[in-house]
Amino acid sequence: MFSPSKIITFIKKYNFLIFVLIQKQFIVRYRRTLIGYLWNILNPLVAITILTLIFSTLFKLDPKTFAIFLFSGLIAFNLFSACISIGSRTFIEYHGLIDKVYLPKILFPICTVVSALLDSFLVFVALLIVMFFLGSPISVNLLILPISYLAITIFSFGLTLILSILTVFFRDLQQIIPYILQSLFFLSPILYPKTNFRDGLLSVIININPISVYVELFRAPIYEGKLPDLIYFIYGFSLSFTSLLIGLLFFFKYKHLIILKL
Amino acid sequence: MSSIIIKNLSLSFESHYVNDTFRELFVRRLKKQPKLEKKILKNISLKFVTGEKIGIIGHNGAGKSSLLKAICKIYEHYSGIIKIDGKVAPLLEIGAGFIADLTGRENITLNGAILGLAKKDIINIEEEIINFSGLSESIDQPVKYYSTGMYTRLAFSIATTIKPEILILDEVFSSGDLSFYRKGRARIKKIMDTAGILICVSHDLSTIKATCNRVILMQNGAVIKDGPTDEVIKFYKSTIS
Repeated sequence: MFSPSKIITFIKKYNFLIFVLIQKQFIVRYRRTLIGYLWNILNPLVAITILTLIFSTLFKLDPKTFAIFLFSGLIAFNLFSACISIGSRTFIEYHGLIDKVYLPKILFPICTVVSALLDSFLVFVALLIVMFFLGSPISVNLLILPISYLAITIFSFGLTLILSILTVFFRDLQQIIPYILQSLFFLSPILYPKTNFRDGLLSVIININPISVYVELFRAPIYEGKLPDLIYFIYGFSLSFTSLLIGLLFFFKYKHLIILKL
Repeated sequence: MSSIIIKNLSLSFESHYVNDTFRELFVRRLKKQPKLEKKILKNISLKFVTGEKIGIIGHNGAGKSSLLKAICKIYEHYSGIIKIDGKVAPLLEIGAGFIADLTGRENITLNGAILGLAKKDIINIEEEIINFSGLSESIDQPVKYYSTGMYTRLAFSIATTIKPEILILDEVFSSGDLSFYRKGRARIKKIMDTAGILICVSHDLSTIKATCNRVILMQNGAVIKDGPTDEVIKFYKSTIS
């Protein structure tokens, strides 16, 4: 089912359609707005500014350092969160298309993840520029980031595959997922370092939360300017491929049934 | 050469309970109510070959559109075999595959990509599509401002310009105006000349008579008559009156 030659033919056949679908998302989202795509970069910038102002005052930390600390965690979390929240609604959003023309269903989760990834890259570049002007050191170790991106993208894609189908059958998930994402945000070491919680239930939750691993893969190169420990990569990629495998198996088992519930 | 072979095709739907809330699910489990299944297509076997222009007629709910959707692979949960040789261009409903917020031109690109064309092929045929549809003035407006007739013209122009080998039409002729109807007929004839299959569903028997050389009559999900146009239409009329 997943032989390399088949995957290559699939990509050759559908790469233009994927491009068109993603382009369409942007066109629809930003048509008639004055600054268009800039909103995508502005939104996280504003979020980071506000969170920095509040929490650096609260924790009595240097705002500049805290901003970078926050950004390094947020970039990982936002990518994951965008995949999950948009991906879980993708079939419902496109039901008009799925109902009337034949398209391989997997195109829709793929489009979600690819466009979330594009967003994330652009935000990353924008913030890198801001970092540069704030005078924070930019390390060579940033070059490891593509691998960090790969790990979290595969993980998010696997989960997106599962949730995109589940949401069609259990529409309540549309209401539940935002709560889960919000809880995950606070239960991941984004606003605070993991070392703040040394024992107790919270520290257990934060440590088994998969997002913590990916945050670490981004935080080490961006904030600390060093390479993440190998163990995080091993742990991260094991999680990623488990998620991908389960996701694909689940998706191909149930994809033909979603048309019944759309 | 193109062909469609359908063997023992059956399709059923689980009838929706209107409100699938927890309480109702729970009660249903407790009472062990069976799932409501509705058979839409019952054991259909058909074979279409190049040069055939097939009209499908029958009452509402006879399974005509479901059969088309199964052929187009939109319904994938059937039992039986559907084997298709040839490039299919489906035109199932007015505005199928269109996104309302995109302009006509953007929708041409989207539709072309959905039908499997590469970017350069789409650019090549874009002008032809716009000219044939007669929509050059409004092609850069979002299609949500189009009238039903304009939708039909654009969709039909796209589906026929890509030179499909198998063209599937579901009630599309009813909303274009007369001059477009004539143009469309001429174009279908051209497609048929370059080897192809046409399958069309319509309630308008005169359209069927003018376009098709084979007619299939369906009732309650089964094929009850299959043969030359005049014969089947005559039979259909005799069952109504």
